[in-house]
Amino acid sequence: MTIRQRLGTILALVAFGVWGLLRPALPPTFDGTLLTAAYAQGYSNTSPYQYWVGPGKCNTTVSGNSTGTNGLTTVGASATPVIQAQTTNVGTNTHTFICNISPPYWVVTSGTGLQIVSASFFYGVQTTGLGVQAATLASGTMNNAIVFSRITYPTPGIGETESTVTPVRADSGTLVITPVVASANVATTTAGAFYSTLFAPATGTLAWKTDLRQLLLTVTLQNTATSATITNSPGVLVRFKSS
Amino acid sequence: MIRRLRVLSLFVVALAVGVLVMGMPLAVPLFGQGYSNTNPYAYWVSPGACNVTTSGTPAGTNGLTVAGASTTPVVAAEATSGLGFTLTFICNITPPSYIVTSGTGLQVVDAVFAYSAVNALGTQSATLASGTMNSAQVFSYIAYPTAAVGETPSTVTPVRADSGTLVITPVVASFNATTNTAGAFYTVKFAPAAGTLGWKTDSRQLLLTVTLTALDGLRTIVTSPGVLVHFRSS
Repeated sequence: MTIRQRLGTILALVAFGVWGLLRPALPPTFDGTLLTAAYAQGYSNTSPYQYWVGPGKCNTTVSGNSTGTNGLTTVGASATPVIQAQTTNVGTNTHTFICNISPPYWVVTSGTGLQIVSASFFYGVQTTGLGVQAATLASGTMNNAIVFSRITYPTPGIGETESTVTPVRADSGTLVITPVVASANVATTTAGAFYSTLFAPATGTLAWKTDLRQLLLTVTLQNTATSATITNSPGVLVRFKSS
Repeated sequence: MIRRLRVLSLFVVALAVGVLVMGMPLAVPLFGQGYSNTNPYAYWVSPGACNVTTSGTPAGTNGLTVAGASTTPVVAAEATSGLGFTLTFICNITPPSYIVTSGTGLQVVDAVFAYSAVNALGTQSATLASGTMNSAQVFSYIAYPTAAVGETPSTVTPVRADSGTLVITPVVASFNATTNTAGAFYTVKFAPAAGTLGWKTDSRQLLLTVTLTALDGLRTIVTSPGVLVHFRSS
């Protein structure tokens, strides 16, 4: 074997070794291996894990003038399960949806942990179209409500200090909302038909690596003044990846 | 030709090593922390997967609502005054994972139940060897019949899902029972005896039941934002 061939062999060994070692840096797919990713599309940075947060993991509040159904119900000809908010034509009301979107995954405490990539919130609007939406992206808020927040629960033990009442912002930097709020989809929809809006924290800022935390998504929708409004949501689709 | 075969065989060996290392679950924690015995899978069971009952007289809101200034979604139980009445939370905590039928299957490590007592609670009790708290089975399961003609319906009373001595943290004698601010929560952890809550059978539903004893003669409200369950593979 010539020196060139030997060098080639060593390089090949190193290359395969490095490849084999680095590939598991991505969390395995649910079957516990990454072999599936090699032969069929699997979990990767470009193909993040995703999970549905059903309406049962959400609740709604309104700023006032509640009427009809506020809570779990069904909507449309296909009786799609939704969480709903409903107000009368008195005043200018807001509808707030709060969902527990904690990743159903093991706790990755090393590195930067799990990374929330985005959350798509789906919603329908009936009776009257929505009003003008606002956001302060640097503060991670939409209509003055923090979009991504978390609650840290106390470790079980004697003499616990209770968790704080106000959730803490979970991301940092500039939140991206798609479409931008100035172009939000606000017209009425047929009951059972839905729009979507995507919330993406600034890259790498919504890390999830601590036990006993609960991640919340809050979406507040501004109504049109003095107009009865119904909004409902079949849930949230959340995408995340590993560091 | 022999040299070429040698080089080719080295490539094959290198490829095999690469694939083996890639497929080894134990390699994961080395470079990207993954699922392991010391780092179990965790999932939140939201209030929508729970419901409440009371031995007292129900009042106010019993079911899904929100709590506190930040309107955290919770399931609430509320009852009027009475002697020694209880508020019970029942949650479907079935692991959202594939079914591991080999070995001892999935193992539920513990369940952390978060709660907020708007009024102070009474004295809690437990019989750990029986896996009960305030006389209610903490971990239980319902085995549903296989879909078929002429089924035998499932049993009405759920069966204890763990065995041995249940561990409750903090111990019930030191239970956090003082009043909370609405929307602020305590936690209590229920850990089945190691390895006794295996989860490896299809068509089963795993339940967590937490019964809390109220103070005599006081209207009591307790809310819960859900349960954080930890489990690992065998």
